[in-house]
Amino acid sequence: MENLLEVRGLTKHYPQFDLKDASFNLPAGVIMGFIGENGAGKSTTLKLILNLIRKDGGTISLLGHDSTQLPPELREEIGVVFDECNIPEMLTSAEVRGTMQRLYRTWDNGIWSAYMDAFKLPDHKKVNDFSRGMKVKLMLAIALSHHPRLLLLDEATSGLDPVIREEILEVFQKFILDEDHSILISTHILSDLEKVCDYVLFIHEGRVRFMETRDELHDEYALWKGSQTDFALLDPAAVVGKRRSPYGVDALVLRHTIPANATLEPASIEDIMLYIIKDGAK
Amino acid sequence: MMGLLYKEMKTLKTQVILVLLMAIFFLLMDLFTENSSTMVGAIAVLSIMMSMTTMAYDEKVNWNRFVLTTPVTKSQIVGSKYLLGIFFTVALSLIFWLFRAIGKGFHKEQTVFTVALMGMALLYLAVIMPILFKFGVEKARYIFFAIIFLPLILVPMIFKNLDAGVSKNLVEFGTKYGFLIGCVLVVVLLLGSHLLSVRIVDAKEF
Repeated sequence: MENLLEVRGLTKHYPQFDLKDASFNLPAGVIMGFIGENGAGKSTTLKLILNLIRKDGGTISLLGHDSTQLPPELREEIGVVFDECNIPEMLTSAEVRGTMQRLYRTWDNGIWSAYMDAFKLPDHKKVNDFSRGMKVKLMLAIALSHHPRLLLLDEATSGLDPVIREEILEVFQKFILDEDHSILISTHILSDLEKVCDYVLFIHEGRVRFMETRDELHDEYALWKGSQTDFALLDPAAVVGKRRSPYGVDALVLRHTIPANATLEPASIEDIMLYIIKDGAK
Repeated sequence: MMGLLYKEMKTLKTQVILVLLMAIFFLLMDLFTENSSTMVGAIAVLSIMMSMTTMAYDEKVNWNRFVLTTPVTKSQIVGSKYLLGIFFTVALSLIFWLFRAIGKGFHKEQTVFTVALMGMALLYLAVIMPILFKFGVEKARYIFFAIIFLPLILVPMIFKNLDAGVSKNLVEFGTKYGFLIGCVLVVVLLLGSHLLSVRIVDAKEF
């Protein structure tokens, strides 16, 4: 399987934060959820991939090319949505189209119009008068209207209501039907990732903790609940993280190292992330 | 580049009317007061204001962060702002020339004077643009007004205090070689300014 993105030993130093030795691949044909708490390094990593900031070490291969030397024709193949609307607010949708069709040689007015209709975005209203949801849809329509192979989305769905998020997730799923396409999406809304993502990339305190398929994660981790006494009998190596309460202990455990007769519940991506952040490291 | 210029013009569509009204105000002042020195400042302020306005809008929404993910380069971003400033300087100078020609008749002196004004405004543009790129619109605003108004105050003061002979020689030298020197100076400074701005933006992170 071709990798649309290959990151090796990526480092970036800031006075208060270090991204350390991040390595991962984004294969073609997948949606990869990029998770981690605020300040973990998600946006820094995405900006490094897009060459918006300079790396201190490592290599990034984007669509088979060094990301710092990406030719314009390959930039056409990348759609980007940040956590804000980056379009000057006095422009109308029609003027946004006019701008973009002059910026991208591969711009497709047919696709744009289809998304404008599907998203119910007015042509002659200023961006300033758009709601947060409409602004995200506008950015997404831009990102999708120049035949991209890769979508890089940084918290693009944060602050949106569930109905709009559902609509957007459907767009992602349609986009990924083409096996040459991939999406890397950073988000705090982990329930969305449960619905659509194939891979999960987890970064914590500037270090990539894991990159696994969603199925592998659900297969590997489980939630154990029991009394303090029962918990003491568990193999400590099986416990990834735990929460003590007056009623007992909840623990994230490695499913295959727990006795078969133990009662386990499925662990969500959110559970896995929270337990690892709170109480340990993988 | 065309996409950037298209976006700049669309962004400024409401500002253009305001600038035209302000230009007419200054032009009427010029016609009725005979104080043409304010026109240098007026043309420079109004044209640079247009570039500044688009830069302020860009900064507000982090436009550059987005547009650098498209096929656009940093050099093209810088170039579009210079072209915008030059376009408005030339356009305002032409309007000024037309108004003066209508109000005071078509004389060669009017054209020479207008070209001189345009040159001065372009020099201002060359000086202010790297500052705008370096510090951003918010911080550069104060430096901008200092750069615009200080020469307007200082130059007449210097000429007033110069020895009459020296002053006369300077004016003669200016009349004889001013156009050529001015043209070379404007082109060299604009090119140098553009290169400096590209280096400033190149060093920035978005």
